This record gives sequence, structure tokens and C-alpha cells, in this order.
Amino acid sequence: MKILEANQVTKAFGGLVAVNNVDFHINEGEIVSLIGPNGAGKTTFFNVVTGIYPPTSGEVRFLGETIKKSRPSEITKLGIGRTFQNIRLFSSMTVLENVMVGQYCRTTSNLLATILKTPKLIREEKEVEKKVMGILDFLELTHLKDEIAVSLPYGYQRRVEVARALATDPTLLLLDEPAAGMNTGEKIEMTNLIKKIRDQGYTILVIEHDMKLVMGISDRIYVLEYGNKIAEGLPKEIQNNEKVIAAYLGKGGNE
Amino acid sequence: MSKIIKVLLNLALYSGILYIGIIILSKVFDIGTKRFLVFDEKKKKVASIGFLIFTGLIPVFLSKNTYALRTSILVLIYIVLALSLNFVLGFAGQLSMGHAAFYAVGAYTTAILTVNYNVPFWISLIFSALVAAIFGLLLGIPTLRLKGDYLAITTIGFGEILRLILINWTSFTRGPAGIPGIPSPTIFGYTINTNTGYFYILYILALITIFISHRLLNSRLGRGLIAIKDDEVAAEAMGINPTFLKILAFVLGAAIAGIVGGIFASFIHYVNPDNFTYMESVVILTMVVLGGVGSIPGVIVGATVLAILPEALRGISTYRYAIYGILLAMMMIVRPQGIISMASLKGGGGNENSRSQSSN
Repeated sequence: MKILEANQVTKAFGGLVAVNNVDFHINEGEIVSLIGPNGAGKTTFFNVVTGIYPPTSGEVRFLGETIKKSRPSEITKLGIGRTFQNIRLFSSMTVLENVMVGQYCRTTSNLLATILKTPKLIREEKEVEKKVMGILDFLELTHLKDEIAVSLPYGYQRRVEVARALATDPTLLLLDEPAAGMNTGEKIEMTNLIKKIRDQGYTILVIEHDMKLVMGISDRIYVLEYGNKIAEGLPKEIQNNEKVIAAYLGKGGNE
Repeated sequence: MSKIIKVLLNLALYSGILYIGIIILSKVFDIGTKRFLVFDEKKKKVASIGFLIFTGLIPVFLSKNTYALRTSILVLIYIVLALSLNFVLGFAGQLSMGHAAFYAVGAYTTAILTVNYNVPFWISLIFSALVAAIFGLLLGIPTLRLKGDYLAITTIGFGEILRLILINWTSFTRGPAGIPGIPSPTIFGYTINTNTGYFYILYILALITIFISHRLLNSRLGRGLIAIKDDEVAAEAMGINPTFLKILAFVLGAAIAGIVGGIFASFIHYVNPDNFTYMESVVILTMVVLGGVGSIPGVIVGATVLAILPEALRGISTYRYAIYGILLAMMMIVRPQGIISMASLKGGGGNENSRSQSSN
């Protein structure tokens, strides 16, 4: 089943075509990577998928339904969770609270229930905590739950971000450069983590620069350059694709 | 010339006193918070109940001293006002600088309803909350799309416009002359016209406000609000609708400020526009910032300190605002997180502990 599908999506800002006629899809349970040099249009594509920009032409379908321009909060409710390229954790909260915020869109208690502490609210809070503890356990963060999240080492902060995105109960998880700024050891951990998450039944879209990580985890890869899709396929195929090599390393002299 | 030197010397002297005062207070509360946090649940309960009984008995201790009792009533009024602003500034992180306007709306609603229409006090108090909430909603919907400085400027504008309306709409508000003769509330046929009576009304209101703050802070909605304060973009990616939550906090803060406005009007039996100037908003804001933005005990301490300070500094009341300014500037340098910060309540303090633990 196709979780996400983009049909001939074009996004132009005035005369600048940032994404040009891109076809794209992710099947259920896949890890798909979107790569490309700086300025290739990856972020724009990402923003079109998450409904921040409406496409100039073409359409994006999530679980069979067309995504229209809408608030990011509504996209999250549909079932697309995301992390950020520059870590954006809630600085005054502990790890546990950060991840609990992720459950916000799946809970409903209102102000009156909050003040009166109705049985429904108590039940809801308990469920949230149980669920969040499960996620923390899964990502091996339980021992850090009462630490202020932003005081953790970088690798852990990334992991908390992933936990927080998982707490929104996403069908599709978008990871925006999950290995940016990480050292080799942390990258290996992140690779294993992404695979582990996929094995739980999540579908994952990764935007990434780090080739080693991308080749290691992806089921399929899409390559963008100057807004055009120049290649798609299995990691092996992409590795040997001349267009991709040229885009990343520059064209050889004898071509 | 000698006068200027005298003024400057005075200011320097008081700055020094304030500086030492801040440091001592901060230390005391730091130790206090740490001690309190390691208490078990039972001890915490005992300590809280002890504190409640002690503060609840203030009118008994002060029964001979009317001046001190009236000051403690003012302290309660400011505690509620500061806590109501804390919903907006402390929880949602929105810099609203026109909070006195909601206070004014509440006071005038009660004044006009009770004096002109003979509405019973308690019913007019409900209207005070409602009308202030409606003003909060009407102001919040367009302005809460703005951020930081822009929101501050708009809310200042709102406060000033409201005050000018109160001054100039003489047929309705009696203009600068104000509205005298606001009656005292009655409960079961007893008229509450003593200071002790007002103290307990406000005491209960303060407890309710603290209760609401506490419940809200430790809930889904509270986490949503703090998330918006910390990082609006990330909050939105978590499925939080920031506009809705900001307006919710704004309306809640406005309604509570409206209620305390109504009680204030009845307490002094007279309202006029001078009670609700821009300075009043600044004072409330200062209390929240001084005490610790977002921290409930911090805001209470901030309001208490700043409500007592002008009384303690009676001799130099002309310097009052200069000292406010110096105090704020000094706080920003010495202790920007406020007297009791939110972080210290989580046991984080300066974050050093958590950092060293996690790197192991």
C-alpha cells in the first residue's frame, strides 16, 4: 500500500522552480531517503509534503487523501510526525515532558476537565504516561526521563526528538537530516535506531547528506538536483548511477 | 546641583540595599526550594497546610493594625493579578503589557452594574469575569498572531485606548470623576465591609487562582502552552494549534483579572481611570518577571515583594518607579531567571547536575 504519493509535483516561487514535476511514493513499512546536493529542493519538497506550501501543480496524497495547504498541526494529526534538522526540543522541559507533548494531538481534555480533574482526564493522563514510558523504553531513554532535555549530549537530544515524533502516533515519520552534526559512533547508533523503528511498523522518509547512513538504511532512494528528480532506485543502483555521481562529485573531464 | 547629587546618592544607596536584598532572598529561596523538593509527599502536604494556616491567620495577627491589614489585602490583589498575567506571560510566553486594562474592565463592570443597576455584587462579579474575558477574546484573536515586541506594543495600545475611553465616555463612566459609592458584598444577609472580610474573599480567590494555575501547568493544555513558549514551530509540529492555546490563556488571564478588578472596586468603593494606568500594567509585569516567569511560587513572592516594597519605602515614595527600574535591571543582571525560577522547581537549578550526570 502506498502511504505517501506525489504526482507530478511542481513548486515554483515566482520564476524559480524549486521542485519540478517530481513523482514520488513511499510504500508501507519502507525506509525511503531523499538526497541531493545543497539547493536541490529537498526542503521545499519536504514542506510541500507536510502541507506548509501548496504545490503549484500536481498533488500529494497521504493514505489516499489529497493534502491541501493546512497548518502543520493538522498534518501531524493526519499521521505525519517529524523531527527537525536543527534540534528543536522544548528547553524548559524534562525528557519525559518533551515526549508527552507529542501526545497532545491524540488527547482531548479541555480546560474545564483540567481544572476539575475529571476521571476521564486522570485516565487520559495515565494512558499518556504509559504510552510515553513505552516509547522511552523502546529508545533506551528511560534512565534520562527526568533530565532537562536540552542539557543532554547531542546524540541523546536527537533521540528525544525522535521519541517525541513517535509520540504523535505517526503513520509516516519524517526525519530531517537525523545524523547532522553527529560523530561516527552516534551515526551508527542512529542507523540502528532508524532500522529498529521501521521494524516496529513505521514508514520512514529520511532527508540526509550522509551517504554512508543513507546507503545503510534505505530501501529506496530518490535523488534531486536543481528541483528535478535525476534518479530513483535501490541503494546499489544509486551508487553506480552516473548522473548521481556527477551531481555529487562534478562531471569528469572526458565527458 | 546639590539636589541632584542627593537624589543620585539616595538611588545608589537603595540600589545597594536592593542588590543585597535580592541576593539574600534568592539564596534563601534556593535553599528553601531544594529542601522542599526532597521532602516526601506527606511532609510536603504538612508544610503546605502549615503555610496555608499561617497565611490564613494573618488578619488575626494584624487585627490591631489596620494599615498592615490593608497592605496585606493589596498584596493579595497583586498576587491574583500577577498570577493571571502569568497564564499569558509565564505559560504561553506572550508579552502582554496591557493587563491592567482587563483589571479596569472588571472593576468598571462591577462599579456600573452595582451602582447604576443595583445588581447584587456576586452577580456583577460574574459579569466582570465575562466582560473581561470577552475583551480578552476580542483583543486576542487579532493580536496573538503577532510576536514579541509587536504584541507588546499592541497590548500597550489597547490599555491606553481603554483608559482614554474610561476618561472620555463621561455619560457612561463619569469620566475622570470616577464612580463612587460601590456597595460592599453581602453573604447570607451579612454585609462584608471589614478589612478581614475582604481579606478572606481575596484569600479564597488567590487560592482558586493558584489551584487553577497548578492544575493547568501539570496537564495536557499546560504542556502545550509551555511548548509554545519554548518553541512555537516545534509545538506546531506536535499537533498543537498555537493560536487556540494562546487565546485560551489570554481569555483565562483576562477573566481572573476581571474578577479581582470587581473585588477591588468594591473594596475601595470607588473607581476612577487613574487606578488603571500603563504603570499598573508595568507593575504587574514586573512582579511576574521578578518572581520568576511561569513559576507559581515565584510569581507569588514577586507580587508580595513588590506590593510591600512601596509601603516599606514610604519615605521615598517619589523614587518608587526609579527603584522599580533599578530593581528590574539588577534582577536581569544578577538573577535573570527570577527569585524562584521554573527550572529550580524541577530540581534543575543551574542545569550543572543534570549535565554532569548524563555525560557519564
